[in-house]
Amino acid sequence: MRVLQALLAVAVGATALPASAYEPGRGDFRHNQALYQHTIGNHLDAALELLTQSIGSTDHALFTTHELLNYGLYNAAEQRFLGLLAQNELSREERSELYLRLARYAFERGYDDAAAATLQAMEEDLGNYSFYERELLGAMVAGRQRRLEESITRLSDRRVAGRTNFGKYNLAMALFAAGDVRSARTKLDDIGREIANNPLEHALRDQANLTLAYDYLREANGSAALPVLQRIRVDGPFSEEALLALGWAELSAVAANRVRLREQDTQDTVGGVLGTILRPGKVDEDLRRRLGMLQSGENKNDGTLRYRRAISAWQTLAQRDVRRTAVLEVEVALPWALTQLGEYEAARRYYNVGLARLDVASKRLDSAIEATRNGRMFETLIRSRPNEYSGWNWRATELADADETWYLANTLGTTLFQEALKNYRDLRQLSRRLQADIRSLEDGPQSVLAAGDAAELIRRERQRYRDPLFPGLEPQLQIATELNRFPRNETLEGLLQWTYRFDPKRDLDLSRDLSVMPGSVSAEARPLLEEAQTLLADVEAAIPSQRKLLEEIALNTLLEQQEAIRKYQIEARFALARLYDQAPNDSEDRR
Amino acid sequence: MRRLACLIIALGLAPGLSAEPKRDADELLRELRRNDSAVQNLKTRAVNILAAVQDHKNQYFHPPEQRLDVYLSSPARLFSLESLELSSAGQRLLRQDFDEQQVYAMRIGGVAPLFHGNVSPGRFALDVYLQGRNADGEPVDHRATMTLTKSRQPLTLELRVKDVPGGSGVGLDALEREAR
Repeated sequence: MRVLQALLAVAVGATALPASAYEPGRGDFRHNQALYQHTIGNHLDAALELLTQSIGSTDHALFTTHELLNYGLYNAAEQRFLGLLAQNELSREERSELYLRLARYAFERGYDDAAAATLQAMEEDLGNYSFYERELLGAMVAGRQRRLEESITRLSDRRVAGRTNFGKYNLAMALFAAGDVRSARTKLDDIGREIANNPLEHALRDQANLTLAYDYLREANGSAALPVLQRIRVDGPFSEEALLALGWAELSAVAANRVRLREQDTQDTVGGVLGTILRPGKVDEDLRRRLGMLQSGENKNDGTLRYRRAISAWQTLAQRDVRRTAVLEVEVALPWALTQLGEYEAARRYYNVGLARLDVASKRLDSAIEATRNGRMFETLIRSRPNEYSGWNWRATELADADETWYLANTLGTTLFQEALKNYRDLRQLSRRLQADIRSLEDGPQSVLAAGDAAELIRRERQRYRDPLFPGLEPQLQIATELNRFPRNETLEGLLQWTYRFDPKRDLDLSRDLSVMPGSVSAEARPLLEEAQTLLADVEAAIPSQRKLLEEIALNTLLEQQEAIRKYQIEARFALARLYDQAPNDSEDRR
Repeated sequence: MRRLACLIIALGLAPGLSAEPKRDADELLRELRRNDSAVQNLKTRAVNILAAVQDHKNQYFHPPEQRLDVYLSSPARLFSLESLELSSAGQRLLRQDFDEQQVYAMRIGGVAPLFHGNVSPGRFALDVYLQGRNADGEPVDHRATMTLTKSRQPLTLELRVKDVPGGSGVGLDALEREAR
């Protein structure tokens, strides 16, 4: 996971904080407390720690600004940054980093005008310093605002396009959007041929090849798509779509046999493993019609060979997890190809198996939709280390092995979903935190665990967090007079450990004689309590609209897949019926 | 758990550069922006309130004559901390396990909060038991006992794990810090 996060930082051009802030022993004791919270991802506590310290050095002010942004307090961070700029004490590197981080936040959360303005201010302040990062982000902002020419100009600069393939890939997308298909294809082809040195480059290379191949296949140009697909890794993140594409490319290739294999293409690529060449795409009638036209002039043996190759690719794909979208399509494509070869019995068998698998997929998808509608999906996504990784710096990079996360893998990776998820997660964390603080204010100093009250506290704490083992039966607990005589959680020792595990910030009291022990909310605490309660109510009221947004994004994808499955099921049932109808004729023909 | 390899790609690439503008996506983005403004306002209020609650608790729940804060730092390079137990008068107060990220946070200078509570004024004993691994990956432990005196002023203690040549290879310092 750490590796992924590091790669992620490179990919998005964001860094957590200037490295200079992290030298061991550099900060004072309280600075280092904030540093700890920052590093474990608890940006709320880090920000709180820094804000409660008296304003000190520029380093402290800079750290606070970063931390406010890390927690997602963009406006507050921007205000502080403007203050720091006015003082003129930041280095070029420090200014550049903050400009870029503020612009990226604004872009990711949809404030495109603010992002563009920040980048403009950066250019005026720093000239060509951090040129690549600024132009890459500026092109993305311009692209989303449909200013395609500006986007292309920024990305075409050799200092951007020539530095990493991310710039080049984005340039290709901008060229496609502007209608310059030829140049876009050339750029994608360049990326797709480069030797990759790390997983990130490899994934980008695969994606470029897949995008290019799909573009060729949109024109039923399998011959062009095959060598491109061949470069895609068989075990990479895009292998399913590549295998599906391979079959279609074989069927639409005009001169597949003339395509030469390169040594590096056959090591670990789809083409290499299958001993053939590759396409991606969706089953659509238009494509099939065009395939029929293309193949009308070839001899029978060539046609059969093409189908055999397509079937070989699709059989490999059919063995993969049915929750992958590409695998769903192959349930229909594979028996269709067998039908074209006249292998009706095998086609019938595959249609039956395919229908059963589509039925399973449909039920799983229904459950994923249900999980999305009732919010379970979002809880699944945020349950990993729920009290840490708050704020903008957190990203969901691991998926629980649940149906809904499988179907949504691509959607979950989008910026829109990630940003909405972060806000949802932050509100849930804030709600928990406020509830705990309100409880402690209501309890007064009694909320501090006193050794003398252990029996009552054990009972109270257990009931608070756990469902009773035997509902209705009052637990009879005893205090251990010696450690380890009772089950772990029944002793004071157990309670302390258990409480810490659930609520590490819970205060503990070892004193034998508490001096203050009022039974009700003190006059001093009352205004604070009321304020906290009002805020909690507002936070709780904001959670549903965050969830609704996430739900909408997720359901868009899930409902599309549901519709696709429904189409495949109808197609498979009709095809199967046709096969059964002609079965007697086959028998008669054989006789 | 599965890792999202494609995520890396998706986040690094331009989301707006698609062949056709999608109205739905624009609407969702506007909704994200609206929600984000609301969340920022809530967070700003929260930061203020939580800081005030913290001050209040320090003032009324942990009066200076009883307040004890214990923190942990571990800049040790050779010893890798895995868990720590804190006991007083033979009674274990807490046991905390540390994951890789927490260990890393301390190694680069971070100070972790361990204990925030009250003790009676006067002398009291604090026992610390550390477990971890040395540079060769072998399990190592270390026990330290200290007797402290709680005065009328808040007591803030930093326990610092350090590499020590010879023996188990690990040691512990206790430093009194200025209370907030």
